[in-house]
Amino acid sequence: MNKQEELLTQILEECLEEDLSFVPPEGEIARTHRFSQPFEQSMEKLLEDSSRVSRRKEIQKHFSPRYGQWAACILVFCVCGWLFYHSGGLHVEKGADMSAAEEEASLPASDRDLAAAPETAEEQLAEEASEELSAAESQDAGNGREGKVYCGNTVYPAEMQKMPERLENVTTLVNCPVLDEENPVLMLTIGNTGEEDIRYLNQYDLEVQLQDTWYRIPAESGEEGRWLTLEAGMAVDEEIDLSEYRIDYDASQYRLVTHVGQETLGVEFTFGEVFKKTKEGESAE
Amino acid sequence: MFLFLALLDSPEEQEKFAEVYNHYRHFMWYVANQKLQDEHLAEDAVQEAFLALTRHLDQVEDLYSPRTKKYLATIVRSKAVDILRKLKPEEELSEYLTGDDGQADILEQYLIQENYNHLVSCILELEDSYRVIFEYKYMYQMGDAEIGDILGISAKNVNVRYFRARKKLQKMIQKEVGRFE
Repeated sequence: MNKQEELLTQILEECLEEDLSFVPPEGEIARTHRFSQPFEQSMEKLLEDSSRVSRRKEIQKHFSPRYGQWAACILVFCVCGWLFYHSGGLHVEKGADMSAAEEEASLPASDRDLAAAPETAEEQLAEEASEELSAAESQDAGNGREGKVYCGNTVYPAEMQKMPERLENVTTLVNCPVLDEENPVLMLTIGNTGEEDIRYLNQYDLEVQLQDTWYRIPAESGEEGRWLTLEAGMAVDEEIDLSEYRIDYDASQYRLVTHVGQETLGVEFTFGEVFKKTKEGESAE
Repeated sequence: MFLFLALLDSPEEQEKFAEVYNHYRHFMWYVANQKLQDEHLAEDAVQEAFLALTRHLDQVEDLYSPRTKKYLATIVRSKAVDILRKLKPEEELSEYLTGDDGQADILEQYLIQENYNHLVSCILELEDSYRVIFEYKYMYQMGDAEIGDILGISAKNVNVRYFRARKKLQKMIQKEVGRFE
């Protein structure tokens, strides 16, 4: 770059700095402007797509064409082996089979049972192992603790028994609950009282307290949540459809668990309170 | 869109992109809105800018440096210029007709320290469509092909715009210097 170009660069930098000096801080703009829904959606999609593409590239990086060539070689080797086995080694195998059959036939009935016994024992062992495995899996689901049957579902103790209801910069609240047996919906409000944007997962866990222990109620839909951004100073209302959970609306204590960044928040409520508030609202009207 | 995103090579790049989006989207919207005076068009400019950024994220080294902020401002301004160009094609036509009067390009003669203040005021008055070309070329050291990729035009057209921008600037400086002599 010659002297003239250096001078022009310096001037361009200075001019751009001057222009940008009139731009308010990001937080201030965020307070006055809220992006439109289509913009948020398309950017969310862009970010998701980019993450999918990068994951795919990561996989491709590990599966190079060289691995493909190796796999092809192994396949050719296996095919050749199989052909050799079924052409040259065929007579040997037949002979071996025949002698085994003859040997078995010459044995008395009791001995034949004994000969078959190892196979049966193997099957039994396999069955036992599979039962043990499924038992271990069911224990894993409850982190090694015993599950309880609640409304026809087996529920397991929650990983976190104690969690805060609010953080320094985030509050959660179960509010404006609408309880209609046919359309049971709860409203969860998440408020960002801090000065920086936060990320939250729009999938919430419902937990019930049974004998002083919190148990997680499995959702029937099993949909995965998405991480969303909540701007500084903003609050968001999230609808929780309770028809996805098997619950009995009795006086049990419930807890709605929200994931905000690295933190987990839990807001407690009972449907008894909800009924009371709904009835108070109705009588006031 | 998927093809553009294919250039975000690794999870680190993807994370960097998300971080840029979270940290600068309001700033970029504000810069675009200053130019377009329309909230929705400004959002379109921001979106276009982020799409272009997926292909040129390598220019972003330190996320929070003033250079990154300037780079994003340049991209979003160039996208705003594009939108204006599409909205008012007559302006585009006039741009191509003006400044091509056969006058020799003697800008280098004016690029001297003595003219510093004149140069600053001329650059501030120069249309954004020309200014962004200078910014890409000198501040971010980008080649014609790279600039063309961001602007959605051919490298040849970038070169044409660059020379028109030089002539325009030269005329402005001539006028400015002449006023004070």
